[in-house]
Amino acid sequence: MRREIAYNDLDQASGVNAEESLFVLRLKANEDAAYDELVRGYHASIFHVAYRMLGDAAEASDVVQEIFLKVFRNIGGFKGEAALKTWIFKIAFSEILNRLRSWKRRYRYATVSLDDNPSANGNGHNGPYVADSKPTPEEVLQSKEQETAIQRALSKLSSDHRSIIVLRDIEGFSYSEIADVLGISIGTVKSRIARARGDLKKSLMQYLSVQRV
Amino acid sequence: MSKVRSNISEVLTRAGAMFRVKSELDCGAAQELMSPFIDSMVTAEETERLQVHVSDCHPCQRQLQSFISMRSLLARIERPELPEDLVLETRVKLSHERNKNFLVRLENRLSIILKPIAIPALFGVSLTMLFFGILLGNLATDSTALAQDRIAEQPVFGLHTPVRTTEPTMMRFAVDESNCWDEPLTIETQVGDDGKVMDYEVISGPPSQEANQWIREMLSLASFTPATAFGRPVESKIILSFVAVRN
Repeated sequence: MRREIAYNDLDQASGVNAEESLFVLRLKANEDAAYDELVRGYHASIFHVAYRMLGDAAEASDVVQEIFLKVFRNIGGFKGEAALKTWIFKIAFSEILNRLRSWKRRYRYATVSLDDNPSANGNGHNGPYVADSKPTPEEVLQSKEQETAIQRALSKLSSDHRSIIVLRDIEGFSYSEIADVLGISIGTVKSRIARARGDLKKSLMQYLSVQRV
Repeated sequence: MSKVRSNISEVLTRAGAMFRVKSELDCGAAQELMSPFIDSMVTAEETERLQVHVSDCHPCQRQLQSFISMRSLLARIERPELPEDLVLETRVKLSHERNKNFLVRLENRLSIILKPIAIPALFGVSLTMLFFGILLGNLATDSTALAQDRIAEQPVFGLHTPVRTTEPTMMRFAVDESNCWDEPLTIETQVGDDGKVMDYEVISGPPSQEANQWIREMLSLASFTPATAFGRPVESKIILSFVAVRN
């Protein structure tokens, strides 16, 4: 426990290591291989986060590309005060939350309540956001009951609570990394994650009782 | 002695009870510690106090188990399948953006490099133009009078020599007894770059037919040293004045 706390403090203070500094220099020098490495290294985790936040694979894919473009456009301003990963996820979350806001505005009147019975809409679709004929991620993953339950529970959370659950419990970010990514203090991270878990637990309680040891 | 022992024992029991009360958590405080506890973000003392509490409190024990269970459930969540073309599409988009930006950045870099040079360069060019302007102005001043004698389209420069004549034909006028005009004769003559007269105009003089014929003959035979500009012969004008001198 002490080790974890010490690690977090060290992580916050250290910023960018020498290897990462070199990598950033290569990115700033617009080196092809460095950008290939960047995409290969981060695309999966950014897509995962985007998918959990947006709940739609196509939208997540689109936002991932936009995030990499933003990383490229802003890499000149990267000062190395935080780790590259934290900086990239800060950009990612800014873009994802913007997308989420505009998406909510766009489909304000087409939103389907998550409390509805999945089979109640006649065709068995349980799409959480859009009244659209396209298959939603939930349809694709219908057989995976566990994942669907989590995704639906996540979708019920506010974007602040969802962000913090995705970063901490799904992606395994440390408190200090979350604080950097979301631009909040570690104290706020602690209290927000406790509230978010409380809310999420209510949605997953039935499922957790099965899991209880 | 036994009384003393029993007193010590009593004091220790009281102290132990007081310590236990102080270290015990209520359910609210225990629940607040649960989330940081599963993230290993509590101190050793807080961990111990929480463990003491949940060992006695079954509702809090279940609550903690559900937190741990949920954490485990979320950690095991399957990663979604990545779109096939995600990497390729991202790389293509990035490549386009990088190439597009290359030109913009080149322009920016050039402007950054040239900006400090631009002001001194502009100042230098202005100063040079001013210097040459003054220099040429001074040279041109010398030729102002000459310019009036030259054809308009010819350039005016300081390195100019006027048209001259040492033509003996002109002298005949003075020695010819038949020309006994009293009135002075003034002719504006246009001389070509070959030194021959191209045109003329009598400004003043005797208005006789004989005089006009003599002027025409005299000028058609006359030869001048043409005016020059930068060493090259050019067309120009010369005013010829004849005054009769009698012995």
